[in-house]
Amino acid sequence: MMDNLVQNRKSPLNNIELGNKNTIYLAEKPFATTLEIRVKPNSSTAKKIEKVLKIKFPDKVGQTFKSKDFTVLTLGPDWWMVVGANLNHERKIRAAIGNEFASIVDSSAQRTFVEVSGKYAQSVLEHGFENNLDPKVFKTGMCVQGVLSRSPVIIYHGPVGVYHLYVRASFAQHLWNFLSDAATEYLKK
Amino acid sequence: MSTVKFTFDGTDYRGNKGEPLSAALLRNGIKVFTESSYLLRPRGVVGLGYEEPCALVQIDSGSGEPMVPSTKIELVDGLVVRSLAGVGDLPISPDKARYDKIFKHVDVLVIGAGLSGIKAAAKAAHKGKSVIILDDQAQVGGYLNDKNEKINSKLLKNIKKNNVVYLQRTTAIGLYDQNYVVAVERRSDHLSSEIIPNFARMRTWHIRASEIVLATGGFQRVLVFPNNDRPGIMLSHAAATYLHKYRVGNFKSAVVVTVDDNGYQDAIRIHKSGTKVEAIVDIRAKVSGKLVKEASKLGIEIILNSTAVDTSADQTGAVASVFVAATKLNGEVIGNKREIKADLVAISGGWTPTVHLATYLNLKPVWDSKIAAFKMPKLPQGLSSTGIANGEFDKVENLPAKFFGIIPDGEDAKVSFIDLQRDANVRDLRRAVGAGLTSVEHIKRYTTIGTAHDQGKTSGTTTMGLLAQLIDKEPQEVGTLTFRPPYVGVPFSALAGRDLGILSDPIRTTPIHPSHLNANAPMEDVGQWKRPWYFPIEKENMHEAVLRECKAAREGVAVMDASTLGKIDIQGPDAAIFLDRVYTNMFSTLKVGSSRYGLMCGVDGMVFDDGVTTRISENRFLMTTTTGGAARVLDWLEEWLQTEWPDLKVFCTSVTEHWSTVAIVGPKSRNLLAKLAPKLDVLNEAFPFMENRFADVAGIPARIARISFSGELAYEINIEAWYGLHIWEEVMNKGREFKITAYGTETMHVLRAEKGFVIVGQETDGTQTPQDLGMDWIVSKKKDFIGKRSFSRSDTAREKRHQLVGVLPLNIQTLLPEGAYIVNEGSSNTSGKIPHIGYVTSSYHSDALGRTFALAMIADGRNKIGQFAEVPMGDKVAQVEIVDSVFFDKENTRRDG
Repeated sequence: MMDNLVQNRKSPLNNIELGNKNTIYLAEKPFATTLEIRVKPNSSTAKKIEKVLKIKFPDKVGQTFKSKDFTVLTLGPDWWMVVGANLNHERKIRAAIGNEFASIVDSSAQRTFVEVSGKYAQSVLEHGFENNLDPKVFKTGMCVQGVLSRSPVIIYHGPVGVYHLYVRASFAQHLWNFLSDAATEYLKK
Repeated sequence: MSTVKFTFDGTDYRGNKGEPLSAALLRNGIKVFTESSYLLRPRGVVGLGYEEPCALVQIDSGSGEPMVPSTKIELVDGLVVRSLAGVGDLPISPDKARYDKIFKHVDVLVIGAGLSGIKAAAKAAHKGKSVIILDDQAQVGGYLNDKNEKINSKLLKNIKKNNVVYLQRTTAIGLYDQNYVVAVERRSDHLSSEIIPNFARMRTWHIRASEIVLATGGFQRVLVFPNNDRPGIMLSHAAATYLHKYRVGNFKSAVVVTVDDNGYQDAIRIHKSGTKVEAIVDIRAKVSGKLVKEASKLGIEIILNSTAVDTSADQTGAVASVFVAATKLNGEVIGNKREIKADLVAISGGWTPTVHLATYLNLKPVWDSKIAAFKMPKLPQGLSSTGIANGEFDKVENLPAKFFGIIPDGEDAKVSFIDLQRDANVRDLRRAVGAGLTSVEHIKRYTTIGTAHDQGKTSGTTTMGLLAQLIDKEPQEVGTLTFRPPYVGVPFSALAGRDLGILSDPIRTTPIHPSHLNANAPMEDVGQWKRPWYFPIEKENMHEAVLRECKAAREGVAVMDASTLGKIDIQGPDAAIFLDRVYTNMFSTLKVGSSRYGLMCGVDGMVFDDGVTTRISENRFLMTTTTGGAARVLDWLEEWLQTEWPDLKVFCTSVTEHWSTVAIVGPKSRNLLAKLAPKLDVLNEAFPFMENRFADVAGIPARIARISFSGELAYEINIEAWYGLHIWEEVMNKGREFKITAYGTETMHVLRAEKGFVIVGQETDGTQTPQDLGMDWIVSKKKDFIGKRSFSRSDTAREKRHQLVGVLPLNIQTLLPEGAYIVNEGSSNTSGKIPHIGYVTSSYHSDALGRTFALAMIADGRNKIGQFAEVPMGDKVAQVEIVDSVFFDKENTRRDG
């Protein structure tokens, strides 16, 4: 069953990659599982979910939390995306919270994940992203939702200079077209 | 310094790499660059930078560019230019060069890399702030650089730090609210006259800064007197720089006409460069100090209380001599004219701080009598200015005079130019004043002064000064000119950047898209989505393909990619109540596992969106929206939840792209589903209409919904989008034995229209109520919902509104154009105004009906069923019958297969 699933799945960008880690590196790292959780912050329901997943929901939009299994991105005051969580975790959460008020949504295929890294990663993103990516402000371990070349994206600043872009599947090809084009000059450096 | 070749007006010349084109032309003996736009008078270079009013060229090499000041072109090998008399040509062929843009946020943005700008940048950099310095020059130093003076190397070290970005050849073209600056960097024109592939020729910088320092320097002004436009008459700073820095040596003798001490400095530089300065003509009565002494020592005659009052020309039109005379500060000439031979007349009419960027924020410059110029006004927080831009001129020994020139009458007025590019002169100014105009803003529009490419950089203050003189006011009393971005001309391609072709707008596709491309399906644009329109076999045209696809759906089995439908996962204890409020019909009564079609209205009671919503569990619904409406509907739901009903315990999450949807349609779809999901009981009783089942389809977990948008037996298979393509291929494989037929949006439209199902956006345009669409049945009388109140408004409730009906052309082959007007029977032949009674919303050929048919909105349409009407189609008129909007299977006998 699992084999059948793995064999037959296809990501929006077919695991494409471009460039090198010295200058600019772009690659789809597909099939990350994600749960989008919406729950009243600091409520008892939120605490139950934190306990099931052994995570902490950060307080502020843009903050993240990292555990061995999960990366938790805060997308709104009551909205988190737990990267690494899947349907099994959803079941466990539902078992723990019963009918309490929360929304647990498996959104794994909603977006694909593109890594942008290398010396010029920030510059490449800045060719299309209007939010502040200055590492003094957009520090490692932060995330931001915005529009990159007219595509809705969530950008997570992982290790210094490594950006994880979560882009809606239908926009993935456009985003790739943009990123690979924006990399043009940096690839030659 | 290396020598390069360039072409000007078809002739080859040589010059020094990197010097301004204007310098190279002067050194090559070209003083007459072009003629003026309107009066066709010979004109030469006047300035040194973007203030240049005359010496424009068209660049023909590389990307080509019209109306570039020759003063701002750095000489490069192979450059091809031609002179322009004001009007350039946009290159016709597409520009092959690359342009891009970049967004930056910074602590401190310094605009101008002269001494003041560098000081400001160094200070900020020293404090550890992130700094961007923009400079429109090729080298650091600004005005000092023109004089071959160097900036302290310690200061320069500070701008080489890691936290400083120094952009040369970059001009801030706009300053907007919240400290937002747009600047254009010219990156390759100085490297090559040809296009450099894969390298952005220009880059537009969008910079947001916590602090902005305007260190934009200033421009020298012209003076007004008869024949002040002859080639060889230049601004003195420009003249001195050409002669001294760029070693342009072919002038015989010069006269400097000045109102300030800068004229002395420049005269000394000119003289020391080897061109004899015959005289300095100074309007001021008394001057003293070192500069005056030095000039005298060099043997330069100093003529006080005087100014230039005319010039003469040689046979080329270039200046040959200047006439000077004693003149009062109000412009009244009181002495006799004296002629001095000179082929260079250098004008020092005073300096004007470059305040343009601040004025873009609607701040008005203020007059400072000490410097006899307008300077920066008080700036808002986060914005400051420094140096010349701020009116901090170099310390002077003698204050400048407030003098802008003489204001002659008669014929002389016609050749006393204020705006050289517009050929606007003192006569124009006098006429404007004579017509009663007293505001400089009115004068500008009456005379066109300041409306050329340079927006009057050299002439603005002069205009205000002369006007004040004419109407006996002070310069600050006549108002200031309004400058507007861009500060300099910018090619559209620089602003567009990479937003061209496929990058201009996202193309959204479903996971199944590759298969549609393989099938050579033409695509239809639905919002940003590309959806297969129809699937032609061999040489079929659209008409043939759609008839075949429709037939398959009605008689066999057909398949469509419905993945683009918007999907919203709605969860929470109040989810059912929430849906009752946003839909016109009831959802709280929906059973778990069942689906229901719902209609949404705006507060105005007009249809807003529709779709099928499924109750997944007690507190969880999956809503579908129209393809184009997905984002709009989610916004709508969030708006109500966040602003009106924050008490409702409901959360919404978009899952449009998490799910792929494959619709199988037709009498044989049940047999196909049985093959695809062997463990699923597909019998009608076991899996009734509008219910959902969870089962593996081709080994993939799926939710199967029995929904129909065609009236036929149909199922929608929903799987995680990663498996969308796989499921599509499996459906095609397993469907082969049933002759499965893929269909596109056109067939979908025909099938639903045959059943009289509306499409929001096709039948509707935001002015239709559910009742207009004959959908009163879906409007609950029991509960309240968004839009309900509006149904009792007199216009919404009135009789005879436009109503959805069917329309059948009497000629069964006639296809009515969508959007066509419908008029009363017989009225097409009458003349005069013919009122229409409605319009066609959808129109197709139908395989099932064996004829064409249409849907239409007709006033009081339901009462007109059975009547005839006419549809004018160009020079023909189609006779039509008004009929019920359901054309096919009115009894719904086909739904269960």
